[in-house]
Amino acid sequence: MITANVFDIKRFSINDGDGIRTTIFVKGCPLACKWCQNPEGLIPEIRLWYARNICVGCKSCIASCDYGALKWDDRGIAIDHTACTRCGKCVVACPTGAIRFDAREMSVAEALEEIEKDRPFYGTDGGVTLSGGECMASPAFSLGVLRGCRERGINAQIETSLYARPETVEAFSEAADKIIADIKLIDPARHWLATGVDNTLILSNIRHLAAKDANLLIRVPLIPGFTDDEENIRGIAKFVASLAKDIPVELLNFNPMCREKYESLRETYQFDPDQREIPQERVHALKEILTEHGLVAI
Amino acid sequence: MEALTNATEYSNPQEYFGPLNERTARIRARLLDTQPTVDTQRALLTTESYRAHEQDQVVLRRAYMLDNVLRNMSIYIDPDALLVGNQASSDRSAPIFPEYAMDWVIKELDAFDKRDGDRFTITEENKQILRDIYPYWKGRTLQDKGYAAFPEQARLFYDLGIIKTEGNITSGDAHIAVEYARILREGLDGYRARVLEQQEKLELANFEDLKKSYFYRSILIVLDAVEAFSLRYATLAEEQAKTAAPERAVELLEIARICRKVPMQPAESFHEALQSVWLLHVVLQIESNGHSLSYGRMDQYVYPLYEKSRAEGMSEERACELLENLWLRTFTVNKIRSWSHTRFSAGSPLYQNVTVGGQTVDGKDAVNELSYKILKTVARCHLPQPNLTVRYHKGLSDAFMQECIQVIRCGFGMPAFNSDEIIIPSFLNIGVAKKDAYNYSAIGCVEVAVPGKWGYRCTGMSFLNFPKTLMIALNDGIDIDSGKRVFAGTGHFLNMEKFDNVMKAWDIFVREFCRQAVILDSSADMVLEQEVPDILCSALTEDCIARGKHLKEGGAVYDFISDLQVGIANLGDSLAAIKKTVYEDKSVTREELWNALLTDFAGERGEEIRKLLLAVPKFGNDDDYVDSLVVEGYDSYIDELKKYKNTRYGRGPIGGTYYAGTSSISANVPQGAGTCATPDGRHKGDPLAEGCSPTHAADVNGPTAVFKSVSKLRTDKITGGVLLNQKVAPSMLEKPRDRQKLLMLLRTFFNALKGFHVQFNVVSRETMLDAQIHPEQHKDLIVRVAGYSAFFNVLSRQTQDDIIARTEQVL
Repeated sequence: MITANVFDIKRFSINDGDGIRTTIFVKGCPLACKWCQNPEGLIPEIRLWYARNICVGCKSCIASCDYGALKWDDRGIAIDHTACTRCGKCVVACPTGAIRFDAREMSVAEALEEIEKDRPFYGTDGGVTLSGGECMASPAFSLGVLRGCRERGINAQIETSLYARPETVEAFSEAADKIIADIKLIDPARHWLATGVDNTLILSNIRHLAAKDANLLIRVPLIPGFTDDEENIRGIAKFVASLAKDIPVELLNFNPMCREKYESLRETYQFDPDQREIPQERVHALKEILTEHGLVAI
Repeated sequence: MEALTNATEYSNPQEYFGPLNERTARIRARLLDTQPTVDTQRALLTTESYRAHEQDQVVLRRAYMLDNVLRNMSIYIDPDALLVGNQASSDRSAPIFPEYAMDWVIKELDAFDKRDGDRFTITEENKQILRDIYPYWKGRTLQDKGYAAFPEQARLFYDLGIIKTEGNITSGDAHIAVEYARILREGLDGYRARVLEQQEKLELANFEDLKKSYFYRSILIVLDAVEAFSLRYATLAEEQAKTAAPERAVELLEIARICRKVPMQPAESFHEALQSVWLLHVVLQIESNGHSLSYGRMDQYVYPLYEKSRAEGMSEERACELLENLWLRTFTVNKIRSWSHTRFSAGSPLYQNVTVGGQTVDGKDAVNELSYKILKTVARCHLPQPNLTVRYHKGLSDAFMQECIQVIRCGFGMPAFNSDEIIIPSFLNIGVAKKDAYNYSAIGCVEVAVPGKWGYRCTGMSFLNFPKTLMIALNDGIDIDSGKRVFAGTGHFLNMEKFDNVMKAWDIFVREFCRQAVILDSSADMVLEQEVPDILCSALTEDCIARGKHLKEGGAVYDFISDLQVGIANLGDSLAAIKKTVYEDKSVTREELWNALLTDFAGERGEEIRKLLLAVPKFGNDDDYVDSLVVEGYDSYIDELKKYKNTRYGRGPIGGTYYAGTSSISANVPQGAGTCATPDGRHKGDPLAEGCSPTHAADVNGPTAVFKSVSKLRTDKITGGVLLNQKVAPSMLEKPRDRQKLLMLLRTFFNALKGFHVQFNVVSRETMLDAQIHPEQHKDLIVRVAGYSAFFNVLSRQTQDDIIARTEQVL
């Protein structure tokens, strides 16, 4: 049975493609962006997740653990992922769900069942979006879901970094109704520093998709101090315009909502806790750059 | 690829509809600056008339009362207004209706201006006037007689707050729309002629006819009184015209001309139609203090005259100004309730509903130019009254829906949507004629009826507290707070070996409590019939004149009513939590759970148990585990209620029976305040869930999941209304693309899932928090409370907090 580790299913998601959609977040990503909004989606394996706000401090998880992987400190439960064997005893022991697995293994059929729940709402525009993590990192599952959707007449799109082998990209471009691809940074060195990978492969995949006239939307996440400078946006604009002027480009504003996830993971959050969205005027100014290049800015 | 540009964006949604003109804006500003006060004129004139007519039949006593008030109360004309007619001696002041209840008035006299919400000022002089008339009313009020009429056991339910009926024995009925279409067509002169004709046919030796004769006499008295009232305005306008500026003088003379003509004669222009409707609307709210007096489908019955006046040269702006005048006059009406009742109806709502849209009887879209104008003018006025409802149906155009969404964006909770797709079939099913079913309108907030043909209170009878009922069922029939036994038990929760025992106990108890609610309703209805029949309201509703019966005697063509159930989601969530933690997972023992509930989760494992309960699936997430228990638990009630008849059964109307309804108003707050901790993890005193909405913040899967959960209820049997309140952040409706998504969401909810009603609050959480700190900067902040909108500032802190706590759906 083909499965993947799914860390969230979001119904009525309206910022992940057209119409009313159900978005499936698949775990595992080849990139490691410093600002990642879904840090639990980075590694492909299922791990323990601890939510301090619903923990009652009963410590029954610690008592249940045979491997000494759990400890109590001033930030609640500390998880030693190297000692943890994912046996799940603590998850059963926890009375409130504060200790849980950060994803569940899901088959294509199970995913399709979830997708069916909101079918009445999809209409002709809406449908399913596969996101992540990186859905192309779990190709068998993701392609299975995409093909299942096509059989059912449900529009299916993907959100991807396009950091994948050209053959994989080719298969996805056949199976998906639309590809929403990120360009985070145009400069290879800056890209490498911020995401841990080079962007040559990504840009070449985009070039390839543009050449075959795939249904493509370019998305640029505006991350304060990382991607929101005019030089970067201008570089991206120039690149896209050189491919085709009718590829729309969306600037996606920074979302400061993920701080709690970093706290749960005990990892460093890159931003000031008070960092808010980028002001509308600034976003408009950046959009101007896109339109100056003859692009359709969203 | 299609360019996704934002064609029409308005940073301020109000700009979309444009501003009020200068003088209409002046009226609005004056109204907003008015501190509601208590007015004693009606109380005095009523007492005077009742004293003089003690020997008369009650219908005549009621007619003489209205006659005395209309001929002698102060009248005035707003210097900028085009419509005339006032309820009390100044705008926004609340009359006292002594025949309904006086005890609370006297008891709370000194506290009216110290209230935490719904504050009213009152002068020392007026306090004295009320104290002076109080002795006369001792033992004579509806409340005195209603309370005395409650059978002993039912009274216990009333006293313990398990069933709330206070509003029904301290106020009139209303919850009705009279037959404005016919009034505009025939004028009251036509009504008078019909009464005279009926009188001719009476044979007084026949007892039934003898009884009718008093009713007919009383109708003639009130019709004369209404005419006299209208002529008083004509005279006043003529007088004012003598000293007014020339332009205003012309207007005043036109007002005088109109008041000499309508409502007695048929209306022949748009202005005449609105004046006719308004004058009767305000007189009905002088006759009785019942609320939810509604306009019905105004875009339909006024349309022919709108069209005629437009053809004769009335400008669009003039039409809008007249409508705005109507909405501003509508907002002048006010009502003071006892503090305990206020908590159930926070924000002094009058629920004066106006309905637009829907279908014609042949299934065509009924939207016309006037429908758009009504949306526009209600949006421009931006006030808690009138309560605007749009009748949704499949054929409603995207353009009209988008216009509705623009109104939603204005952030005052309107319009609400009611759906033809479920309501019309439900009506046809219970025996409503096709032409009437297609002509239904919203009454008050979510409830529906056929305007001009339906008796009082298509909903709005007693409130039954579901979670409290469950707790008493688990406690072997003993009320937890008072320790009093209210019903022979079926055994205690501690001895319930299987979850089945819990469901069985619930079934037995909710059926019995439903029965008790009907007993309370019938007692209240009986006394309303005996003590305070409304003559004018009856005369204007079909078929009272032909039958010679007032509404409470069974004069209406249709008479179905609904009781109201509060805390439906808490019930289902509680059942699911018990099932899962106690009987399936066995993570909590029965003793532990029971102790935790009695101690409000204070005991040793208290907080841990609470989190276990909270972790069980909750209603509103499209999870069958809990949704099925909500449906099953509610079904016991629905099934029981349909067995009962109301006091008009067999006396003329089609129906005479009950159905369920979930319009909880703001009752979820006080009923929660009086309810101990519940197995859904709710703390003692916390508000219950409102309407059929999920428990606050329990819906975490977004609006599609909420709609799916709600659609699992047996909506076709809950004809009293399935109230669903959803909140959206204003930022979510800024882009046309997102508005299109809301439109699709609505269409799916109504077309595919057969939803009954939904309304949206688009006030941001930050705005409300700020309004708590700086109320002076948010004088016009309006929020949707339940089925209606109210100024945020007049709500009590507790209700404010409750609204803030509701999940903000991310659209």
